[in-house]
Amino acid sequence: MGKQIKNSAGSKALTLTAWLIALVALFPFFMMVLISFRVSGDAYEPFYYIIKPTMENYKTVFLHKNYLDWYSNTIVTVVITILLRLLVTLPASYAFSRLKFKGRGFILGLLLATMMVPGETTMVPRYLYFKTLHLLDTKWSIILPEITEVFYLMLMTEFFRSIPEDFSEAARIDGCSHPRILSSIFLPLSGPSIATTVLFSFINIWNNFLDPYLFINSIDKQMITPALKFFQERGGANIPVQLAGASLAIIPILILFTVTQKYFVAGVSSSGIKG
Amino acid sequence: MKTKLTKSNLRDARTGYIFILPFVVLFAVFKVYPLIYGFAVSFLGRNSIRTVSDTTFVGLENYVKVLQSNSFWTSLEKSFQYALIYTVVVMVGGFLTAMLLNRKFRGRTFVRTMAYLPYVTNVIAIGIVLKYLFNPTKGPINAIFRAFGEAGPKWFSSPDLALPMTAIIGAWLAMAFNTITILAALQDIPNDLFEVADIEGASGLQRIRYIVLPMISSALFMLLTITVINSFKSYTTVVSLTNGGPASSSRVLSLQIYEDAFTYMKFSIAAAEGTLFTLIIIAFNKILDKVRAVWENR
Amino acid sequence: MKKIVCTALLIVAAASMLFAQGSNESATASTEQRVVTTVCRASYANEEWYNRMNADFEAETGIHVDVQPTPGNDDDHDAKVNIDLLAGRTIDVIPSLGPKFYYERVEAGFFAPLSELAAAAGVDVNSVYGGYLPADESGEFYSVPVKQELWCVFFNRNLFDAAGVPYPEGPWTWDEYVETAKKLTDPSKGIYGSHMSIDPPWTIMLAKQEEIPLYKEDGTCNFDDPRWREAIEFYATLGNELKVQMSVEEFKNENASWNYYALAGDHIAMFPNGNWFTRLLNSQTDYPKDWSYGVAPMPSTGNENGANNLVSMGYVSVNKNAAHPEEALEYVLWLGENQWKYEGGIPALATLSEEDKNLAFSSVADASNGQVTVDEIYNAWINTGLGTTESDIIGTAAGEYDNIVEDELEAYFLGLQSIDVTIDNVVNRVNEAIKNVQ
Repeated sequence: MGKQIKNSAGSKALTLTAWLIALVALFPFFMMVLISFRVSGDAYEPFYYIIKPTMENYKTVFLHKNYLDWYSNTIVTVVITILLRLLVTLPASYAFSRLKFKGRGFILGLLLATMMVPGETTMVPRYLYFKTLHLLDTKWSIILPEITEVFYLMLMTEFFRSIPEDFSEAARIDGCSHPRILSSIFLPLSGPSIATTVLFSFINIWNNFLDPYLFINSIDKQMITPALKFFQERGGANIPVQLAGASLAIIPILILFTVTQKYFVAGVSSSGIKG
Repeated sequence: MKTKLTKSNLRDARTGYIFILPFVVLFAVFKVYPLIYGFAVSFLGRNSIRTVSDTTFVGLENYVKVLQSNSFWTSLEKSFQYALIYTVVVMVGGFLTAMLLNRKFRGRTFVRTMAYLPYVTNVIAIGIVLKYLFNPTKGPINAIFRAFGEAGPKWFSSPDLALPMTAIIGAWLAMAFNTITILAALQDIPNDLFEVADIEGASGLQRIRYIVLPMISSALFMLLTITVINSFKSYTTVVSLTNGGPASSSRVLSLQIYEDAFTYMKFSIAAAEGTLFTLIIIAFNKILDKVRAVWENR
Repeated sequence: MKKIVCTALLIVAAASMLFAQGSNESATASTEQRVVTTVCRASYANEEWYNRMNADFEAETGIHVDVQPTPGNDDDHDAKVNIDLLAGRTIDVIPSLGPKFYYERVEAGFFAPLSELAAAAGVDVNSVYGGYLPADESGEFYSVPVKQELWCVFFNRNLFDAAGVPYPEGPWTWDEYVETAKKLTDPSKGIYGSHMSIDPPWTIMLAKQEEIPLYKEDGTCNFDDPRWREAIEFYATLGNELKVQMSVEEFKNENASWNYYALAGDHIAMFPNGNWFTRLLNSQTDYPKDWSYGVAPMPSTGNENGANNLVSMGYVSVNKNAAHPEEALEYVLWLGENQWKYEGGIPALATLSEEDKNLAFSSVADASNGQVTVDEIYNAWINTGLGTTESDIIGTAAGEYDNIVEDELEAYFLGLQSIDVTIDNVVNRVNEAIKNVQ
């Protein structure tokens, strides 16, 4: 743990800077909520302008016949994706970290190499490809390509590697099978790692704009982030209503964030067992 | 440990294949195949709304067109500018924030939670707010400038600032991941090292230079790899902040690819651009790997 | 760990319940009723007249209109519709507002031919729509016109009164427009005499009015015709030298959209725009304002071939993959004859009875609460003594042409490049785009 700096003036300055970072991070949120209570014409008024707060924007959001659809679509998609992601990634990470087989290094290396390709460069082929697979306008066009993210494979593999060999060796001698070791020894130890995966996956898929915007076209199947753009008026976005929708859309992330915060800070360190 | 060809080793190998099979298959079908598909499409003549299902092989024609067009090179340059600024800000900012938040002070938990906030936000929503905050005539930031009798910069509507601004905002939104990781790595540094430093009377900067940086260097390199990869994912940030403007000054390559494909229906040209972009990024990463290897073996 | 698993399971359970509920609902909704599906701009879906129109159609025909808006602003709409059509979407009715993408869609074969179907339905389209029907040489057509958007100059009566300047009247020229704007501009009060948006056709207005061809005989870009350059320079002068309107740089800084001008337009004296803009000006609830507006005809360029008003046609078409082709045809033909009544626009009908004419304009006049009269509207939109010409860029690679012009001109207006470079860039980029399409 870093020691506190003795010089109290310097220390105060550093604390102040930390608080400043927090306030800078908080201010846009504060504005988002504030503007969501304004009428459209006042959206661009100075930031201290609060006259006549209105609930109309929230009413518009709630009364939109598809808002709950978007919300539930997104939750369903995110949950399915995360579950499938864990289901597929955990055994693979176990294999890459613990099991010896021919081509292990090569396959892992290949996977890591493709990690460098940003998804944005393949949006065109994905669109054409999903069209031939008839996946367009279904949530599977979002879910299927999201299941295998090498980043999480890397995270989990690194974590499993940090679990002492003795743990699994002892279990092997007791006659445990690999699936058994994975589920009863590794899994209980990977709480922080799984929490990290769940949180980061949740944030990334929840906030994904481009994929659902491109691949989904029915209004009732749309996801929450691109769906905010349904709130338009002649000549442009209805800013306060979009922000009202966004303020509501951020709630699940904030809840998950609060719940998992303890876990994921430990999870990224992946070192709880080392000592 | 030496690998012996025993029954148990064979079974291990088989389990290994079975365990990685779902991942590898799904990866091949949904990640690798689109790459190959895109590569194939880049040799076809699907360059207008009428020829979307065209299967005429046109050879390297699309690549020639792309390499000859100015817009490809300018937007590629913008992508790299964005990536550079993004990477520097994320790496330096993430590290400094982590150092600040690692200290014990009143309200640390609250401050940490707030510092992670940008990471969980929706870019679309926060983009609207930031455009408002940085509005040169009506935003609160320029109001401060005006209080000092200056008009202040034009931010997103200045051709010079639009791209750096989007890159910095993109970095600010993503920085928390680095902060969290570095904070976790800092916890691994044995306390006695700092105690020794105390006895030696080391300054704060010396501690960072001789204890912190060496101890977390592997985490930093891992983060650098991830940050560089993420630095090329600029589409949503750019679209929600400047949409490529003003006058193409922040038009990164992913925007160009999107527009070529989905506004003008030039799918093959867009696929060629995507393929080239992919190859350039992979080559760039290879060079970074080399640099990193040299650095580590100094 | 257990906690997490439990939470996850709970979320799944809750989510699947929601999901199951959703699918049940959609299953029960698709009973016997006849349905037609249509895409629309997200902004339309929120407008009262649009929903009232569809409700009336349902009341008249028993066909329910299932409206599917596209996310994003009006610019995003056309691109998204194209993407969806390419994906083989089976939505029935496709509106094309402004012909920017319309001809491309026809060429791409997205739309079903309508001549036989209309004949079978007993509608004599030629006598209903006359010259407004977008028929090809063989008489085949893929769309029904629902409206024409004609341009005019809107003005702020209060600012004219305050400056003691008489209200503008046609026929007049752009020189007179500029003179009037000068009299009204008052920098000390932040008042501008004129406002024109930074996109085509405003930025290329004069050349558009003179019908300068966009393409040369051989099909290449004709933007190097000096008249395009003059039109662009005229626009740039208004903001940069004469300062009778906001410069492009200021406009960009304002980061404002049209609704802003309808709302906060109390410092803009004249703004040329399409007649649809009356809906914003008349909406006291959405865009409250404390000034009244007037309408005047568009100025002409002063050259003999420059006496044209701009027009933009709105069409509706039937998707060739339509899931409900019969209902779609019925809806499209109904829209052609009725949409203008709801939208408060100008019908694209061959013959309009005096009564209909009155109806078309009195609905706007009534909604304006006395700000404009039927006669004033009629004189500003129809009885102008001007001819009409398409406001949009139409032809090969039109969508890209339009974007290139917008993009390069913006760089010129912001002072990033000279006019020569701008024209060169437009010509080169457009030619490249044309070549790619061929």
